[in-house]
Amino acid sequence: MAGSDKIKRINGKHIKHRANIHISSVVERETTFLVKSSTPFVSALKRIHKMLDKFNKTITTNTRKYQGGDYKNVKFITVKGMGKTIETTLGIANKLQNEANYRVDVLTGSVEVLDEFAPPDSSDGPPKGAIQETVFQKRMVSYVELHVWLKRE
Amino acid sequence: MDKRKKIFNTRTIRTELADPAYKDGLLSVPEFLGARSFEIRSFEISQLKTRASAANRVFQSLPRILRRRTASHNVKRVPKRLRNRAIREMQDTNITKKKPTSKQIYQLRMSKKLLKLASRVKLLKSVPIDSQTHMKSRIKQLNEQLADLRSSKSHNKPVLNNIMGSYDNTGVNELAVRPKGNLKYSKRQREHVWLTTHVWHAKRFHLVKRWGYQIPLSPTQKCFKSTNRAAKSNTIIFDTSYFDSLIMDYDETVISNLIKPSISVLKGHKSYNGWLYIDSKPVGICLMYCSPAAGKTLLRIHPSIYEELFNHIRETYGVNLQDCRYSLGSIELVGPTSLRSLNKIFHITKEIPEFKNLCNYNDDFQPGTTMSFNIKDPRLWSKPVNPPVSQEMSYNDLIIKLSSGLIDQESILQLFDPEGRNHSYLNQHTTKELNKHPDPAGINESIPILLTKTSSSWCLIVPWFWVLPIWLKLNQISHIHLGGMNQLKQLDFENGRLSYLEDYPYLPESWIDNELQIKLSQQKYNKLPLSKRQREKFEKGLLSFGNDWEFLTKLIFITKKVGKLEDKFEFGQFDENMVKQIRSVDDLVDHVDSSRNFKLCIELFDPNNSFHQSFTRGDYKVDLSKLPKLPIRIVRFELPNGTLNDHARIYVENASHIQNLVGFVTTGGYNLNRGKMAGIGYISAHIPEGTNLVIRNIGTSKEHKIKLI
Repeated sequence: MAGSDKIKRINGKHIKHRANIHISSVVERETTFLVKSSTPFVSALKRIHKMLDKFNKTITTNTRKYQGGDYKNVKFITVKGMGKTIETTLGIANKLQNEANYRVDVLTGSVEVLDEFAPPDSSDGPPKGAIQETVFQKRMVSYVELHVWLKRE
Repeated sequence: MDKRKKIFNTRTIRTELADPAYKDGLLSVPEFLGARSFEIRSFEISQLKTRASAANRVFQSLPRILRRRTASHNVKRVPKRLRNRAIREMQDTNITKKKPTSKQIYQLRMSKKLLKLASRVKLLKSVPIDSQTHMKSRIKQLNEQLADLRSSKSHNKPVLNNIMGSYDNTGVNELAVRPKGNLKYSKRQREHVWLTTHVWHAKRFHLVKRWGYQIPLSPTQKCFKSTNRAAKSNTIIFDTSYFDSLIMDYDETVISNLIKPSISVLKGHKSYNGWLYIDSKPVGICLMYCSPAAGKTLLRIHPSIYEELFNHIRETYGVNLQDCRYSLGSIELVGPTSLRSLNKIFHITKEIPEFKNLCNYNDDFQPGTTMSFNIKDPRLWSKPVNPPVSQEMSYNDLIIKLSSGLIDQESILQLFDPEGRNHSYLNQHTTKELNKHPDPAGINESIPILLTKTSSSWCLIVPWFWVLPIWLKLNQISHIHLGGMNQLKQLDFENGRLSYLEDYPYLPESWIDNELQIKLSQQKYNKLPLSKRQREKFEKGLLSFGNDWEFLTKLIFITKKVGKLEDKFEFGQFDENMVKQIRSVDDLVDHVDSSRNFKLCIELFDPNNSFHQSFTRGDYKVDLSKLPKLPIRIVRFELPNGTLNDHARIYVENASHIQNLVGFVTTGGYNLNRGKMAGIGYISAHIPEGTNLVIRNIGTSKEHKIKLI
């Protein structure tokens, strides 16, 4: 979408549909971290470290589970952030790369999200100027994706 | 090798006794170290071996959900990947053959005799006649039975068109007759109807008799955490056929009187999930789907208010009604993979690429999204399969497309019509038959279904006797999770939704439910030994079970009338009419106990109600002979410390004085989504917002501060 086309404001209940839509497998769930705008920076960092440590033979006690099977092919942990969380995500990348000495790849892109505007719930009917029927609007949002490479040994 | 010897061998640790490192009074250090390392290694090996030899049988290491009662001697009860090991273990154990019991010998002899008799009957081509029964009376009996059968046929019952015994049991403009079920178990179903999945559930669930049904309550296996987890990543299925449905003529004025519909609901694009009103009063939560094309409206509601609603619609509006309690069943699915699970077992008669595409995505549809189509008998496919997706569609486009519904009007017409539903059972085969002949001739391939999203789940509405085949097929999907009424309540609680009945204490049905729960818990409590019956001493006059709203109402209004109550008075005081005056808490307790009438005495706070306004301001007057209903408002809270149970009491400041009582907790417990104890409760509306509240569980003296959320 061109920057000059400003999106028109719509009065209604704004329902944001999620951008992360694909059903993920168990391994994907355990190796992907999604940064939300409400995620505190340090807790995100701690949780990512916890994920990374599971694969590290020298730290974890449960070595067998994460060294074999489907986990064997896992090369990196994915951290994703979109919109206003890009800054937090890049901060995480910085910390992991420079302080924890992980190899971090940064990928950028944009993702299509859907906004739904529904008529407001009111027993007296919708207020003046509000929409009567549900309106959909697509929007492009930038995102970054980090690949934090595992240290297995 | 027998087991004892094997264990003995594994437990002996090899050592080098004559140490070669020590020669002529000199110790050779490298040799000594070598010998010790050998000893350490063999010690470690021995440890490992001991663990392996004493290890349990293979089925004992399985998670609880995969364990089976007969796994020790029946390898088919062990998962396939472990069967070889299980067979080996079974061969290792020395099983002595048991001698046949006298009963077994007797049974064998009897069956031999019966076989002989059967062959003789076959030779004679006739059945031996019982000489004691008079022939005439026998013929008379048979005639009576035939006449009975004929009369029952003419009673509005459709003709059976299948060997399963499925038929459409709809009451047209009257309440439907309760289905008798299988003849063998009909006596047990006289008062409480069995769902079609009853026998399946009876083996795996605790059941409860309520509202004219035997309802699955919760699985016999522990499932508190797994339910929470499955709702986030998998599918949980519930048989909710006990929710009652009725179908009425499409009439916009009737619909607008019963609910507050939006345009898309009236057009039939979306279903309605929300309050149902009788005479402008909210009475319960309902699901409604209007189909102007079919000229019909489906209403699905909790069984506790069904009959009242049915009679209300029939008497007030005079529209044509179908009582579909026993002709429409439903399955609810919760979790992000719900649509994928349905996709795996549904084989749709017409090509609908939109539905097939849904199997790839997390479920993120808005409540009200509705689909309707015809499917083939799911039992014709032996295993659930992922459908091939012919044309990929973007998920956002799918959401936009489905917002106006994916409705096949023919399916709706068939589903909303008694004859159409009955026609769906045409040539319905038994599962046994289908297993023998996987591709039988003359199979009917159109089952109409309605799939709609409610505020909490996907609701699948199908003809009553198709619930079981679909249910059994859904259970073949790996990682599918099961739930009953308690799990629905748990999920509502964890997601911050109010569950119908428990969390609406001001509704008449909920009041009846609360009274019933009090009675049942009282009966259970009375059976405990005296040492464990210590609740009363903490309750100070409150009922020891459930939420005692009557006490709270009287406490608040009487305190308003007579002013602050003293803790204790030595003597009771009487007025000129010899009525005891209420001066202390003890007097109040006596008064409440003697004047209990167990009638609904609370209502939801309404800011437009003039009495409620004056109640919150505190400038109202009380007539003790006719107490008004107590206005209450909801509170949601977390508990930083301590535990919380249902029916805990809510106090202002501290729980040491009964006068501080302001409300009760309707649902309380551990909320796994929050990771904390949390609760939903109601307090008297005169308590200003932001007041410090504490809770106390029933039968305890400890109080805990709460944090409102």
